[in-house]
Amino acid sequence: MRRLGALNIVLIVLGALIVGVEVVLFTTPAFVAIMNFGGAVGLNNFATPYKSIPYLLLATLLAASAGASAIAGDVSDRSITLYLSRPITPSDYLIGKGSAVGLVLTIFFLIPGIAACLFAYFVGNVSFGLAATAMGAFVAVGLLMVVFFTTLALFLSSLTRRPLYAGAAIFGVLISAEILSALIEGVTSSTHALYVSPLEDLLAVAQSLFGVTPAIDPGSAAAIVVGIAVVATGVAFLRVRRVEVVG
Amino acid sequence: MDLIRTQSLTKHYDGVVGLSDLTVTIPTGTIALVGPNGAGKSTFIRLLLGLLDPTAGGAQVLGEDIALRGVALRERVGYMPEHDCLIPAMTGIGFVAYMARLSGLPKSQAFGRAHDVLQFVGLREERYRRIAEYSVGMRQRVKLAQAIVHDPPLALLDEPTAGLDPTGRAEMLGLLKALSGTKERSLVLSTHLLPDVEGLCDFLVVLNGGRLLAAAPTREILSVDSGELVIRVKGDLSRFVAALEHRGVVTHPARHEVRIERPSGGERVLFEAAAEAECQIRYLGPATRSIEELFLQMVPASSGGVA
Repeated sequence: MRRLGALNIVLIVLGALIVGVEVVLFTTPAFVAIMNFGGAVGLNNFATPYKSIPYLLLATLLAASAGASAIAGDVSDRSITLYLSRPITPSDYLIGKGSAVGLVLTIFFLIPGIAACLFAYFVGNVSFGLAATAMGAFVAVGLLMVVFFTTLALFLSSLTRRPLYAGAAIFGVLISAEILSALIEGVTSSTHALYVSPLEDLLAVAQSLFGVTPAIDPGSAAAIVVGIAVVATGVAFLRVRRVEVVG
Repeated sequence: MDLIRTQSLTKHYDGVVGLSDLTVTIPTGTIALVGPNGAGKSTFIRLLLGLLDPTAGGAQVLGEDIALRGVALRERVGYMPEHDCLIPAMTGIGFVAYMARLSGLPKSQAFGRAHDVLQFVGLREERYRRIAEYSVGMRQRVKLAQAIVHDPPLALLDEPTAGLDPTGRAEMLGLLKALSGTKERSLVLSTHLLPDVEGLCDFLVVLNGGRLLAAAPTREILSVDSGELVIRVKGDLSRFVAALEHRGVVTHPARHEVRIERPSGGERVLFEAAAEAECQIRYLGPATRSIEELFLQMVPASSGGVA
């Protein structure tokens, strides 16, 4: 075990955790659809992963591990200077980094949902229309999640030259906001406090797309999520443009 | 076509002058950017690459305006930074091929070129090892390899011999000499190690404190019109010097030659002195400065840092 190294062990544990949670969360709707326990199967049966926070906590962990070093690593070893001395612009660089992080998150968010829909359609008692609608919802929600987590990871990664700090910041910011929103909600008994947490905003948008009524307005929640993504992208771009300070 | 042409190129960093009002025209060939630490050499190179935005002024490199055609220009320029910039987890071949791909080469060509340049820089055997395992000298070679992998007509090399031991430095200078022998490729080499420049570069740009001190062909800049002559003789140099002094010539003898103030009565007196001392004059020419002497004259002592 010692030869594996601490980082490898963390990655193995994280990988096992992701696979385990994904299997549980995404086989549940398929299982429900197949067994059709005493009632009609609806779109809301597919919303299991987005009914509570654990799935997004796992996504946060994944974004932190996949995105932390995206820019911070290049700044740390100064390879960013070499990249930008090539015929690429800061936008090209950011798109390339975003694609790499986004690919990992796309696999996490889209593949299990699509697989669950196909499984439910071919094996279970689910119409083609419902399976296709559920698949569409998984794709729409998944893409929003990918964009949000990718841009946030790039933004926080661009603020430091230490990937570890970036990873801690990605996880810390989202978890802190979640805890803060829960505390405010507990004190005020107002669901408006949930807007403070981007994870709750994401859940609200996801739930509405799967036909589940969320605790907060999904339109406002979507605006907050998109706003954060836009600001994060803008700041990351400016940070990469100012690479002159780190070279 | 000029290699580089700048007009009042200026760069300030939060009030600190990086480069000040630099107007210079540099021809193709092997060019040395010399100056003490903090002279503005790296700033100049980074401005030419578009890695920095100028505070004022502009520049053209290979006929392209750096502000308007920076991206296209970087396809035709190679860059070797002074600082470490390699990705430790990658192999030498993987890294160089990756840089070739980023420079626009297709994958198949990128690997072929990476193999060729790594062989050229002497890393054929080590190319599949991780960069983390490379010595400082090997890292410098990888940096050089990635700068020339896409065969650019211009390579900007920032302190290529920095951190190398004497053997490594000599090997790196050998590689640069081999590169500079190609007519299709120009090198701009920044250094504060003056011996690196002599014999390698045919054009000098001297900077200090962000200002241009001189820009001219090396021979021209090193020749000095002080009225002094250098003489080398076959025979007893001390006897020759004594004969010169006997004739009223002011001499400054060195180990293998003597520097004299040009005699007012013409050079006939020199041959008379040589005949008297039973020496043969093997070389007689105007005195030239070494780059180090030039530097000491041009750069105030307070600048320091000149090796």
